[in-house]
Amino acid sequence: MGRTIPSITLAFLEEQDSLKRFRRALRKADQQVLDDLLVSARQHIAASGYAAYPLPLETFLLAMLLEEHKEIMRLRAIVESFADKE
Amino acid sequence: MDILPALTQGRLCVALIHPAIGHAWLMQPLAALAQGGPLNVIDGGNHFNAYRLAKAIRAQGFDPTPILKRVYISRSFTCHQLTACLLLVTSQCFPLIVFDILSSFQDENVSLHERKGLFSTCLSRLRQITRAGPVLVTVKTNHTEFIDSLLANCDQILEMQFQPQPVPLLLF
Repeated sequence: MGRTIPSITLAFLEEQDSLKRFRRALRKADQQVLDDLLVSARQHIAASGYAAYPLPLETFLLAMLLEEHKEIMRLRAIVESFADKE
Repeated sequence: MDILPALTQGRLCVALIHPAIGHAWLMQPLAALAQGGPLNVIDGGNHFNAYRLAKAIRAQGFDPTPILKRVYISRSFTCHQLTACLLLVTSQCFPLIVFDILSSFQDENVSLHERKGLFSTCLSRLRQITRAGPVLVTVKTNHTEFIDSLLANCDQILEMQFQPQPVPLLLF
């Protein structure tokens, strides 16, 4: 009966809300980048929920890093494929 | 508001909380309490947020995981469950914090007569357990039913006033 902790989506929304003032102070272009990062954190929200870590922001940051690293690996593969052609 | 000095043995402290404030402010003192040893919470209004407590512990410079293991939560959703939680309190359950004790007593699905009986059981139990260790009870000020009898039976009242923050000027 009942949950011992709030759902991870609620925790995510709370963290997102706490960044509202920070986001507001950013330039428009940077705001969009921050939104992209939050979207990438949201992609792994189920894993963050499963981790049940006491500080969910850290798992959200890790999820952002994960997506960033995936992007780097994808771009590296493209660069290497160009290098191989030459 | 510093609640830690108020939590002394043999005293029943009641914190009156304005509904606009919520229970988030309580997390800093709870984090300090939990560092000292086990902490027991009976959550009568579903207000306890372990993530906020973890943040408060981290803000005080400690690892939240071992400290959170010392926090024991019982959640009650009805006045019967709340009464049962209080009746099950043992001598190891101190300090004890009861969140929003009156919330479940506002339930109109339970007859007033029954609620009155249960609340009087809760009050006498609170008086009894307060002799064994510190007890803090929080009450939202919008829950007016039974509040007078609770305040008449407590030893100390702490009031958390609502101070609306000035709206910052927006430049853009």
